[in-house]
Amino acid sequence: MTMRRVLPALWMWTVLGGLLGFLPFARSSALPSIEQALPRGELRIGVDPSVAPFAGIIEDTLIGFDIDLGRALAERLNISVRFVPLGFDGLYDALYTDQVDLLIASLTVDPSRQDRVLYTPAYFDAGLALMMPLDSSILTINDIGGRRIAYALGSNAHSEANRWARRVLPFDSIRLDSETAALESVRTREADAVLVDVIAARLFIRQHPEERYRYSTVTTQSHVIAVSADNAPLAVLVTNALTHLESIDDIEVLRARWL
Amino acid sequence: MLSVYIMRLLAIAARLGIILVVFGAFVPPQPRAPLGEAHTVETIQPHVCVHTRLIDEVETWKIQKTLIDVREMGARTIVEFFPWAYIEGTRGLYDWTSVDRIVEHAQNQGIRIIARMGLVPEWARENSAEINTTLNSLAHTNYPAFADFVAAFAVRYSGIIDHLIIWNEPNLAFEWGYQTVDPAGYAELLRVVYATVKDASPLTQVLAAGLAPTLEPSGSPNGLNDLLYLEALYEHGAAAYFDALAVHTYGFTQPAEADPAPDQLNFRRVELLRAVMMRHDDAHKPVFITESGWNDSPRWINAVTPAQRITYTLDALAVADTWAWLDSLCLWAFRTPAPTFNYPDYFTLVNVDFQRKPIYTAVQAYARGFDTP
Repeated sequence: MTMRRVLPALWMWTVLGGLLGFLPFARSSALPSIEQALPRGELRIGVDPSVAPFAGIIEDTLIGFDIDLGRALAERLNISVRFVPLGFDGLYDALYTDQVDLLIASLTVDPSRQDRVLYTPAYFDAGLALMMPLDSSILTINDIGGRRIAYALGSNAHSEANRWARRVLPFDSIRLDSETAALESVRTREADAVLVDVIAARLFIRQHPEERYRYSTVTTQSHVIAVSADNAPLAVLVTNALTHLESIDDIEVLRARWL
Repeated sequence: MLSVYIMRLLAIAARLGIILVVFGAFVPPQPRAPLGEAHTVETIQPHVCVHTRLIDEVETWKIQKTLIDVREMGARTIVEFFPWAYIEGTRGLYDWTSVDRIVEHAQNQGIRIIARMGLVPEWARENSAEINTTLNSLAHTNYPAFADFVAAFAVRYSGIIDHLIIWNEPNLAFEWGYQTVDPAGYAELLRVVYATVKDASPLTQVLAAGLAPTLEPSGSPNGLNDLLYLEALYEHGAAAYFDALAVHTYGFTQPAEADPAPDQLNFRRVELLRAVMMRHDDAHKPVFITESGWNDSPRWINAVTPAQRITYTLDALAVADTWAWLDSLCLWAFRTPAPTFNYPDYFTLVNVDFQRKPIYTAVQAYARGFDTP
């Protein structure tokens, strides 16, 4: 799958950064202890339950990919977990004030916060993708010249298409009122391909198993976990657990469950 | 021997100099942003306003470009945040450079500024050496220090910036330093600031902070319902310490015309806040909607489609135009210096790379009387 091609590159960069950041631990082969990282004996995870399908609340229960990932990490770390629902604006302040131990909330690396925050390797790439029927002759962005490309008006895909208009072969833009309408236009063959984020592409493919589509990622937007810079031992443990879960395909199972 | 050594050093220095000159020739010059001819905003809808995010811009040309785009959209007013922590990082030493830069370019474009004041420097935070505090943690003992800063700001920009918003959304715990929200505490802050500012700059208008639209019940650790919080502010005597009320009202998933109700978060919730003012004999004070709008993220559960966002926003501007008590309706947010790569990016009217979104073009047509695109 496309995710499998993109993630190794993301991992290379983030692991490299992580190794530099965690140099004191890198000198020793021993991992810090969970007691050292979480003396409360509990992993408190800040989540934003307003971003589907990553975190939401249904009948007072938190569900979503980020929630399942948090549970999987806690299980791997052999520690109990407590989720703390937060608004997007309050996420980092909750981390800074030690109300949560880490944030799993569709976050990307924010360079302006790296003095106070350590980020793990990416666990999901939510960048933009071109989605097309499996039998399409469009394989990548280089093949869209003269073709009909659909996207939602005012979306990030719209902005990206505007950028393409300046640097790739001319293509026909089909601007539609919503992402759903843009995806449907490929189904009806009104468009040759649709430009949406990877989340929308995966959900659409999942919802239409009888039809065959594929997607090609064109931009990167790496979701990462944020840990306070004051708790480097936890960042090391979470990174190690995440790497392990990725290596045994557990995260891919979670991705497939929700996306 | 020594002279040979010196000659070698000189030769190395000369080579380095040549390399620097050669590579320097390939570095593109930074865009300049000279102040040109003074402009005025052409608009037929003077209540159209936007909340900008200019203070974190590094490059002046981006500030200028943003303000040109604001003017060309037909917005006469901006709300801009001027963080205390940026200006008085060291107690008693003010650095106005960033503010001056924004003010001179806004004046050049003919744009009025409403200033939002907040963000606490480390020296003024609650026990900052002992506990983790946020940039919104203001020690009670430092209320006078904050008031002194606001007064200094009011005096310096008197006649240019005459509307100051004191704090932001104090009914949310994280905006109150992740402490339990405290209407009495905020009323006290208003009292201290109001007296100091009026002493220093009597014509400056003090705006009580826009409250976050929320249904959080009393006792919630996250915050307090904005209607209850405003009621509590009045009960603590805050009426005497603000000249106008700032309001944050978002449409979320409802159309602009949706009826207001205490258990609903929608655009016309501002009417309920206004009703609280009227109950406390404060009807004479104007209201400034300093944050509003709809979000068109495909992922956020409180968002609408881009087409709905345009329709609802234009409807809201039309409804607001009928409210005689309203000064401005400011849309959150015009543009941000950097993307969040999350749903907040879908509140903006212009992208980080200055692409104008369809919502920009629609608001521009409304404000300037152009044909609807």
